[in-house]
Amino acid sequence: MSAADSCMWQLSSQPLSNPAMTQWQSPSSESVVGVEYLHDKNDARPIAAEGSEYSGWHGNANTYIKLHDATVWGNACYTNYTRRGVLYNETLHPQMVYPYLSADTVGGSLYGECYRFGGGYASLIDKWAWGISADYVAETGYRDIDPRPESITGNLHIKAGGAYKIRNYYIGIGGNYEHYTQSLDIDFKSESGKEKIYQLTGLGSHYKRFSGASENSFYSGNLWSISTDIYPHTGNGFSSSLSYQSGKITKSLDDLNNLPLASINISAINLSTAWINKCWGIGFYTAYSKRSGLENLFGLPVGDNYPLIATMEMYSHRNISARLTGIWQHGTCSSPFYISTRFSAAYNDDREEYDNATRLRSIRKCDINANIFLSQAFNDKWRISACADCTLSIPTSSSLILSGRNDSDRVERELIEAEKHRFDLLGNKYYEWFFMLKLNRRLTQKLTASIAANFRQTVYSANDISASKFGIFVSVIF
Amino acid sequence: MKKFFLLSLVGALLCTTSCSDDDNITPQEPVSVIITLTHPEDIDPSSVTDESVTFKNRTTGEETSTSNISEIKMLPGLYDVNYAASVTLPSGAKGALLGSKSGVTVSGTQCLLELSTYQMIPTDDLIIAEIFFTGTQQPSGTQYRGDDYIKLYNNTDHIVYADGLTLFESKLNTTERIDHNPNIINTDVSVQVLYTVPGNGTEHPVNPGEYLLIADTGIDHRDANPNSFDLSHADFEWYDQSSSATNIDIDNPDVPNLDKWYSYTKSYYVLHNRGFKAYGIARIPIDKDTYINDYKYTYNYTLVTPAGEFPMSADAYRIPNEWVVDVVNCSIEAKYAWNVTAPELDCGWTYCGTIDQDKTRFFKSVRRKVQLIDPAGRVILKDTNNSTEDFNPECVPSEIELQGTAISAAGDKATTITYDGVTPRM
Repeated sequence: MSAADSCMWQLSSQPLSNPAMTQWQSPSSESVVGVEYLHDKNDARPIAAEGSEYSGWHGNANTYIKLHDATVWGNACYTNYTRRGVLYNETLHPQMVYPYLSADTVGGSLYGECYRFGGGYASLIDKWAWGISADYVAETGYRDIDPRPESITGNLHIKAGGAYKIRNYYIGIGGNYEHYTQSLDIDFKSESGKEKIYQLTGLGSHYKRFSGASENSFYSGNLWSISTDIYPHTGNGFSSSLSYQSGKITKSLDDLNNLPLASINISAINLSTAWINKCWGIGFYTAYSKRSGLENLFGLPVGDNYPLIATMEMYSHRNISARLTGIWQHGTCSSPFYISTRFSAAYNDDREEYDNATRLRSIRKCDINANIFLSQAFNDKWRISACADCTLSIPTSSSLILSGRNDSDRVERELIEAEKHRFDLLGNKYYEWFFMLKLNRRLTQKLTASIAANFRQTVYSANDISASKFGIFVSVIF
Repeated sequence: MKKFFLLSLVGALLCTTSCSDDDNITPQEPVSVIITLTHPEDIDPSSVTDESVTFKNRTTGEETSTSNISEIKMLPGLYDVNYAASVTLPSGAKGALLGSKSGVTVSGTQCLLELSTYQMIPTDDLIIAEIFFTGTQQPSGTQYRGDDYIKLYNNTDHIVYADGLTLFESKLNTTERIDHNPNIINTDVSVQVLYTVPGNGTEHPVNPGEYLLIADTGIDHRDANPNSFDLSHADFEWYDQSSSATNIDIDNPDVPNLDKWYSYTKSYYVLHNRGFKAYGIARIPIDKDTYINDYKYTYNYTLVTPAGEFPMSADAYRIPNEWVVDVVNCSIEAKYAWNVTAPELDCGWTYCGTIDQDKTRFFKSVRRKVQLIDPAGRVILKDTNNSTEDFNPECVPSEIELQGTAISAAGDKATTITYDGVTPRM
């Protein structure tokens, strides 16, 4: 039984991201072509930069082909979306470039398109396995009223890995390189002038000197990671992965002679271990990540040439998490009847600081999650599957300090209010439930049609505001 | 298997250490700032008291003031520094000493700052009370040009004659600092526009507490733009014989024209509508022809662009600082680079709008603050040669207040009347 044939992959997905081991993801070839529609409405808007509503559809095609001693896989995807109610953010991927967002106080909708394609190859030679993969994602986002940001991003992932078989296990090492760029040009068509574009620096602060000084920015980043992985090639046994990621993303202001305003240093360590077999599995996952924000200070310019005075570490975001998960299942996904249940308990310690902790947001919380998945086949053609999931998030301690506030700065007041709102929502208890229903119809021996719908609701106890997310996915599998 | 693991972990550790960028990070530790003051020659340093210095951090906008100027510690950054003190003059009279330096880089372990001070002497002449450079908007939102003006004010207790007073605009922009040679900022103001009030010396008296309105175009602008106002009552207007058939200036024969000495433009001159210049008034003690012949000023500088560096030169006129009566540096926060005049003329700057092409700047002017109103009801305006302190930025222009005309493109009317854009008239 492979990982893909049961829900055990949830415990051992990290080793499978090594392209040398992706070949054990499924024992047979499979291709999926589908279309999905997603609607996400979150009036609470915990993160203003991500907006209050998302609606979009995407079409994707994935293929996974088993050859004699090799596996080939590929994917292509197109997404078209609208993100409404975006505030204090002009960029795409605000989580990626946070805290150094470009922002205005007008806000509005962002329309976007995303193209993704990639593929990989893995092979087995005697006791050795190796694999490579590459993915490229290009995305564009824009707004059609002032201020009119137009962002174009490019994200290239290259992975390579090798593994050696020792008894029942493959032991591997993998490497991943990611190159990220985002060009952001903000245009104004109004004859009467412009809005001010702010350069945010995190936790309600902004780089005052360059407020309104540059509408155009460029983000460029290089990230890499390495991992060591163990995976039982039968799908039964001990699975583990230890990975380390490091990288840097730099923001520069195009209108000021490509002034390197700030950079984010990223480092993360992840460890996942699991014991899995046909009936049950237990897994432990822990992660540590840190983002350090470095701001450059500049002297008096001559023309547009700004001399660098100093580089100061002003921002840091540290996250520590640990999760223990247990899974029990009866049958396999291809059995006439299949049931699995999953329970997990997680602890998360999230801490953001700015300017020597004069601004600080700290949330420590426990998450309890329960999940049940049922799947029943009817005669040889129909299969119905359902999933229910519930998560309760309970903060154990939380604190927010936003001192050093400049009351005369209107935008800083607004940004601080947004930070308080985010803290009110995420620093208090909230729960989330999820339900999914899927219907498969075998059309021919090799062709299956599938339709799935899911609904997720998050209820924040802080003000009883709820967020809902709905998705429907239609696909053919062959 | 063990070897494989060990090799992987060693590899990971090597990569971690070799990619560290921490070496270039400056610790967030304060830097000692040692100030060396150079007072005017006739000032006895022991007579200087109540010293204070203010550091404004351009990166964060934070201001730090201290009276202990011998022990100053500041975080690294770019600062604008202002010094103030009281002084007892040899005559026994009390006076004030001021000093300023913009764009002071504080970095490293120690910062040595040399600061020249000057004695604040009240002006015995007209002063600039208001500059309306942003203009108004048509109801459609497009900008309307021609209703810009400057108001002068007699802040003294006696009649001052405006005859011979020259209005000027700086050549250099406050938003773009250049290393130019020769740099005459400490001795002269480089200018690109000069218009002089005509008269024999006693033709245009301005009584104490009265204004002199100098308009770009002295007409009722409401005929062309219902959101504008009437300037046909202006005391003077500046008029240009344009060489461009499509850009013609309007001359109202009922409003006397200033005597044009020089203007850089071949069409017609308007105030910089975003306020990137310094505006001033001067008493030039020589005749126009002599001045035009003898006070030309050519400077060289290097234009630094992403495409490279290019040697440039520019022509202007210069006005010695001793001739300058008053000057006001204007700029915008997002692009302010420097003051284009010496600190003793103006050690601050004022503004309408904070960014280039700020859509909120229209229908606003800079107005000099009221210092006090004497028992006779005469308004004394603040004049410390520091435009940051002396002016209220982004005010409703006085002419708009007095005429109750529009304060926005939508046509909302002004409903209050103030002395200085802030202090309401009783």
